[in-house]
Amino acid sequence: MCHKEFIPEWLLNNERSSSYSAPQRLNFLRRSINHLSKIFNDEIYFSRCANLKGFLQAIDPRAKLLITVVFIIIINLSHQLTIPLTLLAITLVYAHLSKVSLSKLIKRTWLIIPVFILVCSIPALFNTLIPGKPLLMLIAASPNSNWLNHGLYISDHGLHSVTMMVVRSGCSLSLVYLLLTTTHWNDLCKGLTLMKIPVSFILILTMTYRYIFLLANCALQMNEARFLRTVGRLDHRENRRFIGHSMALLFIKSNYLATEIFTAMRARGFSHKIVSLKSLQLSKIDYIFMINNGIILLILLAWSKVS
Amino acid sequence: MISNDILFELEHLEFSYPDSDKILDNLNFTIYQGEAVSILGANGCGKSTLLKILSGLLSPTIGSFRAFGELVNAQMLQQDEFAINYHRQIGFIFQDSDVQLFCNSVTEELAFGLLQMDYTPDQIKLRINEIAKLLSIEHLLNKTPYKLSGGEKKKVAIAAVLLLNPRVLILDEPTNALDPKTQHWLVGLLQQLHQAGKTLIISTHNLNLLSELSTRGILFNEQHQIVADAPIEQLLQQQDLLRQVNLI
Repeated sequence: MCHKEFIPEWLLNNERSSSYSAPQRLNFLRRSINHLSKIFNDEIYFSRCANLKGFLQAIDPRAKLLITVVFIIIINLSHQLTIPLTLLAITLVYAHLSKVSLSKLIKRTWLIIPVFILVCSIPALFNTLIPGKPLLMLIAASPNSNWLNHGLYISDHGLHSVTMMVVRSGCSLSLVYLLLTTTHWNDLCKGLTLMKIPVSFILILTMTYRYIFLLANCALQMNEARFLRTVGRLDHRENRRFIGHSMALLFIKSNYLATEIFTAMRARGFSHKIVSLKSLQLSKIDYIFMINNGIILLILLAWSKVS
Repeated sequence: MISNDILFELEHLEFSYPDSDKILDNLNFTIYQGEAVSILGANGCGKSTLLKILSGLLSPTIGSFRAFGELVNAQMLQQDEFAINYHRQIGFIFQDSDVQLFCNSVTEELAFGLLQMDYTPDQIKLRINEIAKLLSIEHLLNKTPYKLSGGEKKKVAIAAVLLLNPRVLILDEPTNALDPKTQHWLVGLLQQLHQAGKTLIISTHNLNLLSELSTRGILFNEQHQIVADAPIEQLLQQQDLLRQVNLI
């Protein structure tokens, strides 16, 4: 029980602390909160897109999955830029027909991972890793040097390899993004099951998907609580200690949540079977979609052989 | 003890998340220092979002929001000095106390806010002991927060916020998941804090405790708009209206 006689004087007096020297920087907390909120905004956006009456939304998940996988394989096996770029153009046309925002698609798929890959593969641009014809000489050849007797330059093969790597990753991500924005998660999982993908693999995907939102929500609220109670400045040692504890706590909670989710799924009859309200059936439009895309691929491959 | 000091002033306030519908639609109201206000409405009507705006976690998409005489918007909340000063005046108690506790022990949890102010270690210790005595949580001080029961977690969350001595206490569904005894305890504590001059803003759909917790009610419909703003006793008599907004 709460005892009135115990209410401290300072709490009754509405006293205000006057300390106000150099407040804590809140950018880290703000950024964490924004990133975590984005997970939920993305989920809302994906589910809205999947509900729209667009071109790909009307296609059976299995047909979309099959075409996406085949497109990704072709993109990653091709050695010419024209194939991934043509398939990217097709992806963008499909996205437009499916009412998926093109600017969002490009921002999400081309601005982070391909740029990261570009930065990581910068050494491959140079002749020291991938020899070829010089395109841009950086250090002139020196016959006396053991290391740079051919000089240091950006080679044509190096540039081609790096460009291919970046384009392949961007195109593959665009295809996966389009698949996810135009297909409900449950339908996608059911599609995977019908395509005889091992249940254990789908189960891990399903669990991860369910769990990630709970964990993100937990992390978001912990950060919000910390943000709201940041009312001054902690010294660096204390700050590091609190961050360490928060991380450890989140880890413990994540372990607990994972068990809880699985128990809840089991309690509601989950028996490693992927279910969806939608009964998936390939229709004429799905076959036309697959045949058309197959023809496009054959033309592309034949044309790339000729050229 | 309601004064003429305006704490919060909302004019034509709207809020929506990116790519989603309006969560708050054209809100207009004023909250004075010392008031005890209940925000009422069915699940999903926007109560928690409104509380997040009042506590400075979110900023309105459209309309104006003034707090403590100053305009509060996204730009202002991006300024560390403004944000920290704002947080000092508002204590937010989350619906789920579990996520509000992020430290290794209850003592550390309680000390977190005080350590950032200019209190000496002795003063911090004294205040923690005083608040622990007030909330009867002395026996929990060395325990790990996440291992506590729901009611104990709620008490620790309240204690952590009270130690900052905020002018305004914002509580999101405070009686949710609490047993009747703890609910009764919480109502008693909130009444005393209100008498001590704290402004209380409480989101709830527990109609049984409304008249004990607040003097004024702001009622939302499922279209995220305010349909009534009246003294709580008067509001509770409007059964048709409460039925219309799916609260009963």
